Amino acid sequence: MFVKWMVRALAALNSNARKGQVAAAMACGVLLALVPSGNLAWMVLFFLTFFFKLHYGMQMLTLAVLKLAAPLLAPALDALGWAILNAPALEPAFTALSSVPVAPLTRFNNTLVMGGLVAGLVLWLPLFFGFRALVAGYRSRFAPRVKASRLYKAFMKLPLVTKISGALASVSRLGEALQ
Amino acid sequence: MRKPAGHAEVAAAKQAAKQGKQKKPGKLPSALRKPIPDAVFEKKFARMLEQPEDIAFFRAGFERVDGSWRARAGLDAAAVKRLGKLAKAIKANRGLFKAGPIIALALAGGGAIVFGSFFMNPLLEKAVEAGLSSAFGAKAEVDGLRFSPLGMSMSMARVAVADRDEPMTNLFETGRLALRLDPAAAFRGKVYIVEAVAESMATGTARSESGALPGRESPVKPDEPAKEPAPPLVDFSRFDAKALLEREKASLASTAAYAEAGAAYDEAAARWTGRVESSGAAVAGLKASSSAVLAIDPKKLTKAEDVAKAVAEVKKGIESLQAVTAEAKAVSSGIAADAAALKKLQTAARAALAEDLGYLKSFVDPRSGTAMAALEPSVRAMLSDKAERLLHYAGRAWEVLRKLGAGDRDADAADPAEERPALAARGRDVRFPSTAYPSFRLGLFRTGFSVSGTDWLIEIREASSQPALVAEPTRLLLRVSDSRSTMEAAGLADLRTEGAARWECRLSADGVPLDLGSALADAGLDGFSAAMAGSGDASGSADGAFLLRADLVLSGARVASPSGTFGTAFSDALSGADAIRAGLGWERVPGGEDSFSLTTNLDSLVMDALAAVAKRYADKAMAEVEAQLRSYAAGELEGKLASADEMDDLLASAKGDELATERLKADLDRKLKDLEARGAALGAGVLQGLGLPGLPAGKP
Repeated sequence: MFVKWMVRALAALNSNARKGQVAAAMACGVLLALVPSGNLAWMVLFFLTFFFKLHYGMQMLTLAVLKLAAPLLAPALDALGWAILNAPALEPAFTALSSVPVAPLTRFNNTLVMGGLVAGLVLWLPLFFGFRALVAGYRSRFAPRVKASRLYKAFMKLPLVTKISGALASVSRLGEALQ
Repeated sequence: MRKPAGHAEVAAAKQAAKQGKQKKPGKLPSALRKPIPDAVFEKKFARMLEQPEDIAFFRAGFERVDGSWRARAGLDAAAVKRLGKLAKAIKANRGLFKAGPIIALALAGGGAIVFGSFFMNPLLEKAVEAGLSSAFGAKAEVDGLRFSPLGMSMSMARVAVADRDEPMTNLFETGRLALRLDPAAAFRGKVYIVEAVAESMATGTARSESGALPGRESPVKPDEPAKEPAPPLVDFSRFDAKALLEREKASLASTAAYAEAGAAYDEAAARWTGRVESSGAAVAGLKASSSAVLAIDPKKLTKAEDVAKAVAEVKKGIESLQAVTAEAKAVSSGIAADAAALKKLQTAARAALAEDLGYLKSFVDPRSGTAMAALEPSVRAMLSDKAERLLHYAGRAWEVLRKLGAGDRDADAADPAEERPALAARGRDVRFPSTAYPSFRLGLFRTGFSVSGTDWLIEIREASSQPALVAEPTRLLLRVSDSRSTMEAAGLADLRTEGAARWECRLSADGVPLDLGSALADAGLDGFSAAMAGSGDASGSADGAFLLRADLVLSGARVASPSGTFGTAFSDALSGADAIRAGLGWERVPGGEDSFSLTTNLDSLVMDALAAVAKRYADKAMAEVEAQLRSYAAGELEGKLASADEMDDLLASAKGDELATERLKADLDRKLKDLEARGAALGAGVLQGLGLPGLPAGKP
């Protein structure tokens, strides 16, 4: 699965996929990685991304990579969430939210959920523009060199990568037909 | 005109085609076949591509004609294919939303609607049946369930729940039932029925098949306590004193007392007869053996040796007499002691006769409260039947409410979330006060319907599985009314405090027709009817204790078929009475016996009614009772004391034996003295001449 996401991500970087779509996918991946899963907030965010033209493979790759680093960020997110949830000015709002149907299922009152959500949302735009610039820079400067490299050519000729590319092409055709 | 950057590639492609690659070119995508306006070509096509070489190729594949871009003619198959791929990439890069997931969502929504139309209602029907079965411990049937998720409402054509204790009967059955649910609670997985309205409701309806759950045995109903027999009322006009005595013989105190005394006499007589006979025989034998000694004439004895021999024989007789005398005395005193004790039993038995006479006379004494005592068991049994049925329903409701509450309490107890320490890896939960919902809450159940001109209204408010989360206790209102009467019961069950659950109920009635049918027929009041009004209070607690107090006024009372002296007199009294007033009290203490009290003005009514009867019949009846009892005592009871005469004979015999031994002893003592005196005289004469030693002195 991880290899598949890598292949799709590499293909996205070197295809006509829009910079914005790839950057938004990476920003969304960061957001989903920062918010702990297993609650309604994460699920809603995750399913929302399906409705937008984001690069799924890049999003999942970013999510998978950053999820590994999430424990390192947990103390900071916990502190941020604690500060927000215990802010006197926000207490009436959270109290009202507690009585709203479904809202408790989001576990918004958890420090990691709240911290991750706020951090992810605040960072989303900077990350989007940052990743967008990186993709543009990669495509204009590094992509030709990478494509010309023997390593890339050897990687793309790997049987597994060839199979995955073929499968992805089929899926892509199906997706395009649906669109 | 700007020359496209990929022009050389297109030219090369054309050249290759000319060199023999005769592959037929395919069709361009429709979006590329039409002329594309200048502004649109750059904005919506060329800029949608990201790779510079693809952009150049795309531009080279088009030429500008009359202000718009058209695909070049003569493109070979490879170019057409590549342009087709680029067209797909352009399409994929356009817009913000994906159509696929949106279509999938629409399909899922359509699937949900199909599911709701064809499968949801039957599944919900089964789920509601299972829930009701679990709550009431018996089969439940729900027909025609319709659930509207958007309106959060539900309706059922019929609901029937079997009675666990009587499986062939429904505990209740409703007609069409409409429910309105609270969406906020539903989103949290809780059931909050804000309002439930039933078109009709019936209890105790018959079932065609058993409502017992498979594998669950019907609980064994405890035996109903035997109806307390009522003291019978005497019909003076046909009074039979002998029959009354025969009927009551077994319960008379004197019968038992005489039997006890008679048995004691028989046992004592049997015990003493043998000893008296042996004692008498011993006395007779001693008298016979002593007669020869007593016949000795001392004056005729002339020799000292003969005197000494006679003295020795008398002494031997005296020694033998001592043992016989002791036995005779022991028998005599023992019989005397037993006779005294038996006399006391005899006296007690005769005293019991006086008590029995009073008891028997009470049956014919109209002032003794017998009439009330006769009525009370019937009234109590009648009230018990009604109350037991009501208590049965109240008990089941109480049980269901407590079971619901227990379920939530168990669930709460089983959830360790509150006690689980917050782990840093999982973050910390900050608690905010919020509205908590019990798993099940019935805000209002209401049914109002008419049956045969009688209007019924039943309301249940705030029945909940977690009463502590609801501000109000559970309330019940039952009102039954018609054009002439109203009956109302307003109850309250407060389960909000664990361990201190309680209930109370206020009852009121006005103009309620009361027809007791044959319930008081034993008292000669067959077909008693009246109009009842009154009020009362009942309260109880979870441990089964309850207290009922009620004040009732019966007006327009009449007896359809009075019988007997009492029934007739009572019926006459009712016709002239203003009303019958009754105060009921019923208390049940866990582990103790029920106490029931009934106070009425019936006694005074009865006394007045029977005054004339008493004048005519009661004195005569009492005299007959006394005569019959005395005859019974003389004929049957005194016969049981036949052994008393035998005891008297034994005592007399024993005393005679004792007296005989005393007399015999006196005779022997006297004879001994005479012989000693004779011996002394003979001794003195010899000493005067011979100087012989004197005779030894005899014992007195």
